[in-house]
Amino acid sequence: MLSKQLRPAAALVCALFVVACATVQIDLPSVSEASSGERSPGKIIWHDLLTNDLAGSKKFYGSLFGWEFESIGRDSGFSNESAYTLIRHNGNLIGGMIDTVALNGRDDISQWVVVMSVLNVDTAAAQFEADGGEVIAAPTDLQRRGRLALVRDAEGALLALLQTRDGDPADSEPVINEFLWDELWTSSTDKATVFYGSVTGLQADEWDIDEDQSSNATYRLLKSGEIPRVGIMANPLEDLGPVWVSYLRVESPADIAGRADAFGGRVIIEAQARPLGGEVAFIAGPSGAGIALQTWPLDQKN
Amino acid sequence: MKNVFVLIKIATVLAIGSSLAGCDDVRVYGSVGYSGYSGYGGYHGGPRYGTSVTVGGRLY
Repeated sequence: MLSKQLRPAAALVCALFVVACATVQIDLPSVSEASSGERSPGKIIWHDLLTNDLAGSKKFYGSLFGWEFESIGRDSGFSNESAYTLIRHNGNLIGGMIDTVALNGRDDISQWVVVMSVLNVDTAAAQFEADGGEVIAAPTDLQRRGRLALVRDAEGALLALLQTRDGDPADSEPVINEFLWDELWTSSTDKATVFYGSVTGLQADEWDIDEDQSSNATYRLLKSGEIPRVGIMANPLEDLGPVWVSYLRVESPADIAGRADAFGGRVIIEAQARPLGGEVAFIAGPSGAGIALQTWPLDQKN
Repeated sequence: MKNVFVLIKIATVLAIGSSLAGCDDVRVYGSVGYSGYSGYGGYHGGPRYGTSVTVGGRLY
């Protein structure tokens, strides 16, 4: 039993605990320094690399793609400066890096996480849960960036959903050594096409990308009007779980893949001609996170 | 009465200290490691695929 003198002190302790915790806020920059002021549901508007090897990842992507890095952990409200790093290319903001070691994450979660625009992140997150997916991190306010949730779809593919505060980046032509495209490799293309279409309001379309290989030749597109936003295809790698895969536009996938080992990475799928034109390869950085490389436009070989 | 103020002062210091220690970074991406997630794991080791695997990419 607390004495009368101690009760006010105990109450003060409790009050301070709540106030101090409530002041911990993360404030990440907007995903665009020139936002459109509008949202484009279903569009991939950001990419974050989860890595357990921040230094190695910086060296790998900096050397191969000319990316620059800016650690903003403490300025953003994290307790560790390396917790969040902005990625720039030629000064333009193109993505972020999460130091999973600083966040006490497990060692085996390194991957690129696509960030998909949604109109209402709370509603979208609930749709993932209702469909049999999982809300890993409930919608959280990240101030200038907007409100973000981390989810897995029903097949297990991880992605983030973002309701931007000030609008999404405007559509633009892909630049060499920057993000070009995003697609879902999944075990159930039909179900995923219907589900992501229902979450985003995008319309489905189909392409035959390889007439000689019927097993995974049908490629699904989710489009906003005539603008393709994301692709969905059967997972081509048997030992890999469902995953969102991001592509970088590069001048030569073969050249980049040939140098990946020297910077701590490895080649998963060697450079090859695409049936529809151009060249593609699939590599992994030092943390194990995979990323695809593609020439573009399609008639560009080198 | 003086003792009460001392107690409050001590309690305040303890409260701030324990609050800061108890408040963790907002767990968005950090949540992945505590969710039982085990699907992806990155590409360490494993086979290297040649040109027999068809992947997608931007089509237009």
